[in-house]
Amino acid sequence: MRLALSLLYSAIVCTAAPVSAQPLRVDITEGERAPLKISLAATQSHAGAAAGTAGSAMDLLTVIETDLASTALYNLARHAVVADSSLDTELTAARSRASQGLVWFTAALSEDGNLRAECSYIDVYSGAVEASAVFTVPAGQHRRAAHKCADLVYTHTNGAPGHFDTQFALITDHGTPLAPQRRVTIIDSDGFNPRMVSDPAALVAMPVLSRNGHAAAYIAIERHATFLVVFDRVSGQQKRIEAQGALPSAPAFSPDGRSLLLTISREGNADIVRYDLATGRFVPLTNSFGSDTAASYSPDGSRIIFQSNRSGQSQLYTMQPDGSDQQRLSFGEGSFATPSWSPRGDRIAFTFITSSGMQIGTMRSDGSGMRLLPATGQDESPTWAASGTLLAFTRTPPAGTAQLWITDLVGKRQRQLSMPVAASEASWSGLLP
Amino acid sequence: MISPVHQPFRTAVTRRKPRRGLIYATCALPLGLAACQVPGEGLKPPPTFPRSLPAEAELAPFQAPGETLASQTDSLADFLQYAGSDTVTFEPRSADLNQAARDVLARQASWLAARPTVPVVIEGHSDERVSVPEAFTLSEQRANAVRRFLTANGIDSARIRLAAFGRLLPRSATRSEAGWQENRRARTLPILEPVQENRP
Repeated sequence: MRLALSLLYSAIVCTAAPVSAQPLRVDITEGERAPLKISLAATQSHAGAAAGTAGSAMDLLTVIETDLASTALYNLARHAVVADSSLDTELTAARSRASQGLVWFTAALSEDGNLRAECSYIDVYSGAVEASAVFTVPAGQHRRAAHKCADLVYTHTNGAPGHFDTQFALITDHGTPLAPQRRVTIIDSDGFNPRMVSDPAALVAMPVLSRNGHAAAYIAIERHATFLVVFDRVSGQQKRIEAQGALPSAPAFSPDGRSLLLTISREGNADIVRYDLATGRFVPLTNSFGSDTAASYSPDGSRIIFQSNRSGQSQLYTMQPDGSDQQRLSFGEGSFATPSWSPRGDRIAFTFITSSGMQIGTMRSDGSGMRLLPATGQDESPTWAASGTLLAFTRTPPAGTAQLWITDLVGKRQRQLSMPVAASEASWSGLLP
Repeated sequence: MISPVHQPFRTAVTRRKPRRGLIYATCALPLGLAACQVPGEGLKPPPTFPRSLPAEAELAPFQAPGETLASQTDSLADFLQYAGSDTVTFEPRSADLNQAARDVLARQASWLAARPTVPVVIEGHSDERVSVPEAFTLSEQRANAVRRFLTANGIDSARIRLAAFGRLLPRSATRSEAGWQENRRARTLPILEPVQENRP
């Protein structure tokens, strides 16, 4: 019996040995964690404020709540907004709800319409203020104070930047598929405050925002002439730039916003150039046969990623900012398009195209670890949230018009950013200053 | 057999379409006159007719507001009739001209060669099965393929301007191979000056 057991033991050890020689590797692709229980409370900051301030604070608390709820990372309990409430009262209420943290938001309108908001994250048990900031936002942008507060809470509880005080530039189509009326529209990350910025006479495409949201660029076709439009949103100045007799497309700002990558099509060949906004100089970066396009920078500006069909089908390539050291990044069946580098620099999102359609994918920045997200329509043109945790993309259902969708990186949580008209080709800004 | 076009372009613009003439003729008949003019109503303004012919719904180019093309109708119709089509189509992801396209473009070149002062825009288009940026570069390649054919057939390249529309202006909204094939196209558009009222 003992011999039998020892033989069995030896057999197990011998069988297991080749396996245990391999280092164990666990890929964590998704995870669940218990949501952090947080209470949200707000009050007007002084008795002299207009009655509307309390209402405004309540509205803004709703914005904070909606922002944080969209991450599924929090179990949120919202307190009523009481004009004369105190922090002690709210802390007591938060403790009775067993919340771990309290978001304390105070807002006051000044006579010039500016809103001064203070946002604090307080540990409920110790009562210590762990993070706090004051935001002053001008009239018409009061919601931004709430987005900034949500970003503060997100950053404090996750140790990573948020993505709430950001904007999209996208194409809204107010016509029909056969008679489009396309406009470049800039909206807040939650779909509020749409502002159309392009000339209705122009057919527009491929809008992009600079990282700080201060500038927008897009391609416009008017009377069969094609040009790049660069729109300085601070000064309100618009510049129309023609590409030396060629057709410009696919603009993308450099991280510092001082130059743009641009595709120039001339005589059947498309190459990538850098356009310097201050000098107006075009610097050629690629010179290959075929279409090199959809170029954009890595977050630190040290590499450029682009798509090229130089090898047949469209694949992803990277190069130095001066165009040297071009390396192919994607291989395999299907084609890869519209690459975009994560703000964290660790992954690249792209459109993966096969004969059966288009879907969103990501890969590590060395080209490994490709992961495709489930698609329910034609999914394309991904753009990263500043946090690097979400992607926005265009989804065109089999019947219906294109809409903007937002997904996590595994495709488990996807939601539509509701728009009354067709929306596509979004570019997501970084956190606004 | 297509006869060469010798008529100068200006004549072509101002020439009245036979259909319009037919309607005038109908009104000029005694019976038709009664229909055009009811006694006691005073003199009616001259009859107006829709400027567009049925075929023009397809013919209508992308037209930005302010761009007047209505008065070019007759000659665009001429061009269409002569060349057989203003549009050639392509295979998926390709800018190669097939034989059918070459036949149409040869007739377009012949029509354009007879009007050496008429500038030409070539519009390139893509279906929605390629990415947005590649659709743009591909549609430029298609427009450029047409330009190369026309210049090889005697059309001065200085007359030709390209416009690449990518996926922006589909001709068919049908999401099937039939619809996509219609959208993978290049279109030749003679830009004809509007008729001047006071032209001597």
